[in-house]
Amino acid sequence: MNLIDVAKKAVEKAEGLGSSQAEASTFMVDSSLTRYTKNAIHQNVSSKTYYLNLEVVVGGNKLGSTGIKSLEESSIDQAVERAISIAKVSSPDPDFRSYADPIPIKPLPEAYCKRTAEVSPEDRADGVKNIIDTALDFNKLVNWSAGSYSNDIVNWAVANSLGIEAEASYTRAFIDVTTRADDGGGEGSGYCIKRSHDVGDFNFQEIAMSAAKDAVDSMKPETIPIGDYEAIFKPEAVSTFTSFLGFLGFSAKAYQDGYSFLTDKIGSQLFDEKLTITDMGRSIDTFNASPFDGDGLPKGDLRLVNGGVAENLCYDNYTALKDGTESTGHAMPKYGRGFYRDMPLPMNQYVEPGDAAVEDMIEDTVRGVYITRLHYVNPIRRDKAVISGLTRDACWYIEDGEVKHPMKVMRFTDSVLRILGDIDSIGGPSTIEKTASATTPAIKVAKFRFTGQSEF
Amino acid sequence: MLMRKELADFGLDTAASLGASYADVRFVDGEQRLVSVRNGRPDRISHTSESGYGVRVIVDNGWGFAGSYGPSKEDVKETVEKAVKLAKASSTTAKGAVTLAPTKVVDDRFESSIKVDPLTVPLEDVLELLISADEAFREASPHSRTTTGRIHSRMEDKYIATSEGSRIEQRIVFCGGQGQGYVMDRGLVQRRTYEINPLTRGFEYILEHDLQGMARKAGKEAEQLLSAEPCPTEIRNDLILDDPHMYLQIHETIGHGSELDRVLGTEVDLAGMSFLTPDKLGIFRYGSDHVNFVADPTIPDGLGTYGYDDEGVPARKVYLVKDGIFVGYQSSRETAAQLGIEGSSAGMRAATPVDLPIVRMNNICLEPGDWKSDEILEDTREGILMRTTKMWSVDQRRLNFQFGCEIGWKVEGGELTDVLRDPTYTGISYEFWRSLDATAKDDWKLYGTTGCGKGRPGQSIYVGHGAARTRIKDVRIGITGRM
Repeated sequence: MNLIDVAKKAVEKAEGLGSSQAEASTFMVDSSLTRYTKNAIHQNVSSKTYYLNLEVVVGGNKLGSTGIKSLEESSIDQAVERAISIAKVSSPDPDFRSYADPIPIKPLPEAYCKRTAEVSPEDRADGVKNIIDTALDFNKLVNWSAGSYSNDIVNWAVANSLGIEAEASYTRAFIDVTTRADDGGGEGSGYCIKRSHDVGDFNFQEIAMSAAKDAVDSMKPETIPIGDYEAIFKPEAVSTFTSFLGFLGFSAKAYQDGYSFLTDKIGSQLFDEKLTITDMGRSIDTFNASPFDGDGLPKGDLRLVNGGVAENLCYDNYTALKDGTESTGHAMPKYGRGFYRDMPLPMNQYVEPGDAAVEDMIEDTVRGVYITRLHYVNPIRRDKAVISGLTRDACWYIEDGEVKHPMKVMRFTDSVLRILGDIDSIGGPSTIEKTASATTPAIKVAKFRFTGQSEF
Repeated sequence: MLMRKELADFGLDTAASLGASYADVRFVDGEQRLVSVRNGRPDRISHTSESGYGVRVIVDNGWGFAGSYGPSKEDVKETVEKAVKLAKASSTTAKGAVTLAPTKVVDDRFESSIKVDPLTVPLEDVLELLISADEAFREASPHSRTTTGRIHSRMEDKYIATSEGSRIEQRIVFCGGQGQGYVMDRGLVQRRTYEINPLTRGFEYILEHDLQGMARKAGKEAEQLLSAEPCPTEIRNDLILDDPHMYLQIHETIGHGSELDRVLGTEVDLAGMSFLTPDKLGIFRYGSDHVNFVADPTIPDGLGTYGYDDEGVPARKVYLVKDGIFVGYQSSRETAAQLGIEGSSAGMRAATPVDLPIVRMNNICLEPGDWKSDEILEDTREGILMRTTKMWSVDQRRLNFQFGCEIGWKVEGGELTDVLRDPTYTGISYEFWRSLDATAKDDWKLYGTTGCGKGRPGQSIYVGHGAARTRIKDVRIGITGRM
């Protein structure tokens, strides 16, 4: 089934039924995941989904959309009729100008890896067994491991009435492991995750040993008082902050709706001068590399933060035309992103590395913490980028340059602007990891506020 | 329908021929409509549909699941083969046989009770309701910056067939709505929401509400927030909760905390586990004597109301906490057998045809107490009443939580006095519920969310919660960090 042909056909059918413009996105998502806990696979799943998202315009600016999980001819006809009938009863949208005009797109074949596409259930089971066995062999105090190993193939296409015809394929895989160790004095928990378009990047033994070591090193965690600490964040923790930069600040939709922390502050020194972040949409060094965005416009590089100065908003076609500017290629694909589908977001952030080693960051710490990752983080004040969440897995308390002991789960409540507004040092290239929304090194900040404690 | 039955039987036969000791096939036709408005005019209006199925099998000692949107005989064969292959791969790490708690074999049908199908209500009528409410908010709040509203409706037509002989048809319909406004003045941004809690009822339920009146009230409160004092920081005080925010408190603490699959470690890699380990069953004090939590898919009209779960287990009411003591879990046939408890709680649900059924909330409710809701307020000498969730967060064992609400009021001498903005509160779940000293009876109602996330791959499903006005003593309030 040729996705671009289906998309074009849907657009033609919509035009034939009276729409002034139409845009169709088609997807084939072949997704497989092997999940394990307590050293055994407990869920093993696979699904194949076809999806058509159709958006139509009637009378110049009356919009309607529909989605259907089938690309059969009869389904397309049903989708077109439904979208048109919705558009006909809508009121005009004065902010809608047009769907996007075509811009040449350079293919990105590197985003598709045959090796990833061909991973079988047996391969995933072998990878999981490798991790489980390696962790158990690492130390006799290791009890069990849990995690997931997933590989997806996505083919998608975007077509519209103005001549956009974009199609691409990509593969994505991730493997993660949580390992628990216990000597009777308090369980330790280590975590490691790797993401790539190419499963060849996964070294299962390294992944397993990393989590197992952290599990053993985080046994017997102790409570620390609430208050402010210097904080060293592993990349997975840094990515929590970078993801909120998008939702709460750099999305043009957040700005236009009035709750962005960047309101009237583009061009201002909002972050520490050591911080430079570029969203690199085509870079295979980021996890979500793609040749084009959800509008079918080319993705590229956009500097978000330059030496601590906030420089640019992320636009899709709709928000760009509303502001009288050009799209920056940040429309989300019109499938699977739920609430955030209508928000342009920077999903390929690259945080410029510094030259610090984590060991040096620890040595320079007077009273601080070293955090693996953060959990269940949500905004309290969007306009001030205040968020709250918890630490998770192996975290340690540092005093006078030495790791003193692992720490129990702590709750933090703090502003991303303040956290990243006073950076001590940024990790060197050897600390870089590819996370869900950013490729980033470790970062050490001067102050991070804990406001609560848990019991484990 | 005959087509689905034939395909399901074919799927089960194919699974058996390939060595499956158990199999189930679940067909789902789903339809969903989202009508939303923004700043007084239609925004996103979408109407989506899907028709697919999922196959679960146990082969050797492993589970496999595969799903597809192509219901033909060839596709079913391919999907079953895929599920069997996955099960065989799973069994290479198995530590023992998969055991399922027994369940009745049934041949039955269940349907949500609706008068007006929300998916067929003319769009113009739905838009008129939403736009007039949106206008009412903006009229009441001159500082409105962005206003939105939406009405969400969904229908699922399911057919479940198991290798044990069960054949179940279910038709679930729900609808609900929400409106929201962001207001701004002198750099301060606030938000106020009004909600028609989603229920498994038809559009007649939407029309029972005065949406314009609700919007107008929300707009006035939004204006009040712009000149309100911030919630006092780092105080301890009595807390009264009495609106949809209650559902999220229940949801995040006892709701997810009592899911047995989490307890046994199936969600470690994402959402975490639970501190409610089996050694605590029957003896751990989770709440005060006034606290009774149930998982009950038999309550009429709840978002989590159904006749059978997605394993074909008949809906039944299960106590999770009784008179404050932790006594039960939400479970599946497998997790119930693993723990040796009597039968599944009928908690297995899948969000889409191609999602694996996992243990999910249905209607998790705080049972009504003895008080009248007015009495709780009048009895409170000093406290804070908070409404409408703005922020939520809980640790991976469901102990430390923090919530932020849109609005609060001081309670002084049994009356609501000053409005407070940006109220937050935090605590440890069981300490919080142990401090509950009053819950009402007369204002008990069902709330719910259409977006409870769990699982890998991620699923988002609709779940219900019931609660009344409730007072909790001595809560830590006003956590602002570095605002």
